[in-house]
Amino acid sequence: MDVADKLTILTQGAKYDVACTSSGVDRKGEKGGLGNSVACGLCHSFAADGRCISLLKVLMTNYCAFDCQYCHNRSSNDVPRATFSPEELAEVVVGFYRRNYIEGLFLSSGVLKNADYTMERMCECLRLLRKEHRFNGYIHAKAIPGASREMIERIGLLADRISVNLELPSEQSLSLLAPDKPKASILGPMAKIRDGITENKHDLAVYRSAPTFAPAGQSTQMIIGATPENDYQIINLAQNLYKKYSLKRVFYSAYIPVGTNALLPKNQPVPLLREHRLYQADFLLRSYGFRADEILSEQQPSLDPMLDPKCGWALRNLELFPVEIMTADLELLLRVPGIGPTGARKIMRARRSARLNFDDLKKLNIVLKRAAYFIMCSGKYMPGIKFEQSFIYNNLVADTRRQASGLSFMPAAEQLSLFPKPQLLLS
Amino acid sequence: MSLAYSYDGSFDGLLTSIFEAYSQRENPEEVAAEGNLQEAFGRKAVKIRTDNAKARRVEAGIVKKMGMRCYQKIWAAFLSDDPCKAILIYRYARRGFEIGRAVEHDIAHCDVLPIEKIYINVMRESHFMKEFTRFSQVEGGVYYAKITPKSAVIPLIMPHFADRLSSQPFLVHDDAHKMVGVYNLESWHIVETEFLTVPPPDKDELNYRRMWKNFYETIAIAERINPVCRRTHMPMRFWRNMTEFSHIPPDKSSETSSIEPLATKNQDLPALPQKQ
Repeated sequence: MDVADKLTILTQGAKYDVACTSSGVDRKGEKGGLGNSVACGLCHSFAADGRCISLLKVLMTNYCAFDCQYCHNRSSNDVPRATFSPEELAEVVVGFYRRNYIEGLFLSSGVLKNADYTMERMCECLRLLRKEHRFNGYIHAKAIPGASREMIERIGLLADRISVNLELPSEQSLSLLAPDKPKASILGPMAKIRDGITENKHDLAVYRSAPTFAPAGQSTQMIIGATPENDYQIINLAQNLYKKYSLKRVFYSAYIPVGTNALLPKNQPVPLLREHRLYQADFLLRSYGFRADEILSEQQPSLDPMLDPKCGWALRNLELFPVEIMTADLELLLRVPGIGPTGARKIMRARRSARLNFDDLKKLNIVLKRAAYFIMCSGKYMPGIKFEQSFIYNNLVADTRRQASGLSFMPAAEQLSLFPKPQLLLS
Repeated sequence: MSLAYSYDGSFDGLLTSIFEAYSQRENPEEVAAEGNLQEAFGRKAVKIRTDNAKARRVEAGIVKKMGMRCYQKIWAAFLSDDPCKAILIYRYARRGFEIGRAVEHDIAHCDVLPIEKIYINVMRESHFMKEFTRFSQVEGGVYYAKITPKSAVIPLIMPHFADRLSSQPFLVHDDAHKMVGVYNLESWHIVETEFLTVPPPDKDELNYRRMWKNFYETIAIAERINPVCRRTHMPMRFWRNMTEFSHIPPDKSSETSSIEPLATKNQDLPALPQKQ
């Protein structure tokens, strides 16, 4: 089997991994070495499914000792198997990088023999890249569940980001579908990585030349829709992961039927819209200062498919609105649906030297489609806007429907009925 | 009588125009490169002679009055293909000399906003080029890439690639603006050229292209195909220069035969750097 065939097989096995980000590290190149790293990250291509290709996403091997039911590479699945030697893989990475195809390597692996043996091989490949090829590009490595402290330490010094997959949002589901991965084997390495990063921060403060440990932090991912957890549980879990394990990102992956186990859903459409809404909620947690219990509650445990979570929150808290653009602070501006961190900062900048009206906001490329219902400029509403919950709700939902026409994963428009369902589904 | 300036199309020429406007106490309603200036009835056209000393004075003035960031913004906006960029930069500079450093935040003002937008466009284009430029190794070990961006972004992307790919000689050929960025393992510079002939691809090269194309096609998940999303992130105008969309002969045995060379027209390559 030649390298090209191996690459195909091992890409096939790796493609269900979600994360492909290359951001978070700024590192200059060095003379005679290869590569650098930019903090904003670069996406070198976009696949036919619209997902970015930033890193060469492959497995070291797709032989696997585990039999996790939701996984393409489970030992009971009948797929062609292959293994890269560390030299082969390093060669491919360098060849691709020199042609500007990729930003670096995303290395994951099936479990060959046991966790530590697999990690050993991954480390060897990364060592070759970093030391022999003097590769300074981005490396994201997966830690194998159950790996020892020593292996985590070694790989942390070679990679920019490490991640341990949480796989499923609850311990119960995990024990049903992935009996080889007890919760401790996942959270253990996660805690080790966190401690490694904290220690390293201290070391770096004391000794400038201390080697960096996973400078881009750690992330994780979980599969959505394969098991019965609701959105409220999931975003609570995400919030805890951000707080307790200081993760940089939690990724969500809509379950695509790859398994045949009786416990797994069959013939259900891939829950892409749910995944989208969860990402929206996740961004609210990370960059907008929201708490999980503001977005959802026990009584309302799932995200509204027709309304993004920020609009949902704003409609439930209408007493905080309308927000005056000229005087609101950053925190409040960020809470306005349709205004994000960039837009909010632009407003803060522009209002220092001018009194802004709605036309100015449009000129600044602030999208008013949603924001218009929730803001005032110098005490004035946008013309034609009624500040009423039902008016706003109906308009926002109509927007979603308009957008949805033609998109397969959005709910389709419905025939009008003489006996309509109550329109306000809010608490 | 209204007034129009024409300059020679260089950045220094534009800066000289700004200098002349102030020293002659004039306020031209149009500033354009020589070929672009349209005659208008009842308008006096003045030809500005580029003077580097005057340009340096304006440059220093902009840096001192408005700050380095604004100067960089003006400089980057000048790389744009926008036909109105000269007059817009002139108006921005006037506004800047009037209110000083505050111009950086005065982004809703009608003289400031256009430059702000052009600047964002140029920076976006340069970001796209950092992402979607594809190099090919040609015979002799040099890496070659062809790009056709909407702005002349070579000066913005060369530092990035020279830092990143410091151990390989490479050329970035902007076919739309007829410029070539050359890196020779020591430093980079820009050559202007109409035509460029590139040697045929290296033997390994086709292998790598095939592997990359294969990887690209394998990584997509069939259940999630979403062409609109792909086009949003990666507009189709970039596809023609990208390896994953190019035709690569599938048969592995016929590697050396009948491969069309990458390049466009004939004539000489400007000082091809040698691999050490």
